[in-house]
Amino acid sequence: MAQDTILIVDDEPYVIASLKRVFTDEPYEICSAAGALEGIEILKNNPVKVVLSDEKMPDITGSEFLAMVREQFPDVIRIMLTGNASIDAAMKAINKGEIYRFFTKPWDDRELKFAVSAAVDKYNIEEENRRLLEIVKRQALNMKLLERQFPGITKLERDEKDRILLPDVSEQEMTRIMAKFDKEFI
Amino acid sequence: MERYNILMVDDEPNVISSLKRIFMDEPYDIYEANSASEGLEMFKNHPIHVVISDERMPEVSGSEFLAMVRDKYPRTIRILLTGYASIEAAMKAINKGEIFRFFTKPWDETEIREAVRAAIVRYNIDSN
Repeated sequence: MAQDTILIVDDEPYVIASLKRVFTDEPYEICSAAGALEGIEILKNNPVKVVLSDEKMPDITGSEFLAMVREQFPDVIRIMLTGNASIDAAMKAINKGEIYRFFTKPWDDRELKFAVSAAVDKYNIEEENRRLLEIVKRQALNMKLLERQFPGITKLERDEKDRILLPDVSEQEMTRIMAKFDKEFI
Repeated sequence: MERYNILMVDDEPNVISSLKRIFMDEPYDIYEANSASEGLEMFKNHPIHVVISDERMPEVSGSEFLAMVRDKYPRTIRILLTGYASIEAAMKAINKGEIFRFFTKPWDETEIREAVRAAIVRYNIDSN
């Protein structure tokens, strides 16, 4: 089974180390970054599902970083974990970063584990929804193309007793349609 | 053009009336409630697309109310608007209420208008 990738961003290495310990028994591949820009680089190169970020970091704050993640990698689920909780940072993290969870340090191991696992589930559900939506869109497009080439082909006709009426199509005509179908539709 | 139902929950009627003015030109039907329990009653009779709630209300707080909305009516997009911003309330509103936006009073009208428009876009994406 492919492991779920989590990214932890904090400028203090010991915080990253203790967070990693929280998730030792969880089936995650954990990446870490000491700052926002390093975090973005990791996101570019790894299939990260959940990002956990500190707020107070040099250069770019956590809430600004999470806002960047939301714009550039909107599918990644965002969690803020801060030792220095200001209402302004929380507001920015929600309104710009659309965070999924917000925690203060010191954290509760169980709560954090539960939140990350819920975040991974959310990512997986949304990914599956995106995949299904793609299929539905493609099928709708194929139907449209098919209808354009063979008008009436996608409509089902029924008689007054609601029985399905099958059009009279010769074997040859059917073979021709199928050959064209194989060539042009996916 | 489709109309949307917005529910505003605040124990101060003057706050609700000034919020309503922000949305005068928007295609919304606005419902109002003065408490969490009245707010929940509204959900029983109308499909609510977006709810905007105050935090500090007698009996049930806004963040608790939004957590209930999330449990019972998860499709409704939730916004917290509070004059009394504590980090605990914000945390509860995010973690339990999974709010979409968070604002403090006094608010910026343009920001609120934009937030509700964005909330409707989110509602439509989610129900796809």
